[in-house]
Amino acid sequence: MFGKNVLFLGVVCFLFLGCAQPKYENGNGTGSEIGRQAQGQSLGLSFANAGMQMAWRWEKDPIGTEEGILLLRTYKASTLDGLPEPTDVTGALTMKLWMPDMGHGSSPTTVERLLDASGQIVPGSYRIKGIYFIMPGLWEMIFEIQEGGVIRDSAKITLTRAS
Amino acid sequence: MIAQRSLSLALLSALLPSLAQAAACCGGGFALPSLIAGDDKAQISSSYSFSELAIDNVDSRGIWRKWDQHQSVQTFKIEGAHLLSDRWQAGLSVPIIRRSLTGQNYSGLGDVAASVAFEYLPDWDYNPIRPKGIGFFQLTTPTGKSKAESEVGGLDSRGNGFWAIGLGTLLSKSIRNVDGFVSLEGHRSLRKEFSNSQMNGTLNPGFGGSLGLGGGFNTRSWRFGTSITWFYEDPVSVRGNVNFDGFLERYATGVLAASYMPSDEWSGTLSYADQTLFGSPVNTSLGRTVALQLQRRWGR
Repeated sequence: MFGKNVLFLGVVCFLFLGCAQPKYENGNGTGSEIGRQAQGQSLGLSFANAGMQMAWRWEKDPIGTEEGILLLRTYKASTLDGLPEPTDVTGALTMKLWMPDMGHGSSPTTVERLLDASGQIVPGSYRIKGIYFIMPGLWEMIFEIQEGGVIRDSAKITLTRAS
Repeated sequence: MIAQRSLSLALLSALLPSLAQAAACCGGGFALPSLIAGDDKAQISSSYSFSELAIDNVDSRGIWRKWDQHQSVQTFKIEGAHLLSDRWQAGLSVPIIRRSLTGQNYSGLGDVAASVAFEYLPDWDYNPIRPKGIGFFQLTTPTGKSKAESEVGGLDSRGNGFWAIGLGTLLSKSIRNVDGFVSLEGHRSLRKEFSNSQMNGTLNPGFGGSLGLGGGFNTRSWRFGTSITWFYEDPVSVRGNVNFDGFLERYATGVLAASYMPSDEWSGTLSYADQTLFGSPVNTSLGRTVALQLQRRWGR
């Protein structure tokens, strides 16, 4: 009888100690955290090899699993006064998503040039569509400049999609 | 009494597939093989399970996150095992998986696994203490796409997606109307080349393993069982036009199961599996699963 009791107690203790202890993140449940994190970032990101900097903001905040649309502007220091001026990247600009913790990406995004009211290309300005964060967690947005299919430069933004 | 012991082990084998409960998100864990744990000559099982993510993401710091919209996974699996001789057996497992999120559905063949097992500790004399021991070798084929290859965030991933070889053991014991088991399994997944519209290079997985403990209580036609299984997978690194080191994945699955056996040949098992209750999960999603399994056995 004693042995059975000890065994029962041991099993109960084992199960209790083995119980998961969830650490939930405090979030607002809308997924707009990503917008607040990132809006207004200015010249904080750079393509080191190309000597370029970037500023970006969400044109459409990616709420939940909905599509997000990003506006991106690339700059280069002016030869005139050294101040940043909008400049096109040399080559093709691409952006991909990756979840480093989970080890997977998301759907391919599309990059298009931003046009002004008269239909003219705005120098150094891009619109990135088809940004789908399919789950909350840590995500990387990886911007790349490719020439002839070869990646010449890259820059990365790390974001946490909140609960 | 001897027949009762044999039947309880047969029903225990009906619980075993639940041990293979995969990580709910984006692919799945390494499936345990189909094993004859009782005294039968052959068995074939078909099962249907429905999983829904309860926790969408647990990151490398162990922070849990969830949204209102969750992935769901339906799995239909056919498994069979047959004795090759008194102590040798072979098994095959074929899963078909359908993954859904916000109206998008992806379905197809999961990782098919074949196994050979040897009963290294037979229980011919129904020893009161010594357990029955079965060792197995398993080969998993990458018929399900890995989550790293996916271009829809893992929604179309239906397994680990790597060739893998595994070794393991199942120790089981039935005493009167109570039974218990311990399962231990380790595997090595092999690297593979991959290419999609965004990336190309080599995926480098590593080792993985699982440890399961379980037990049950038997009546004449019923078995009520429970188990906990801990799973571990090494990081999968990516080397190519982009480089990622990856992070290890860890989770535990608790299972409650009720089996009914109207005859010696047939049994049905209803089980509930929950990945949110035990362990210290990292870099995974956690789901809850309800499964129904029908099994046919042929005696020796």
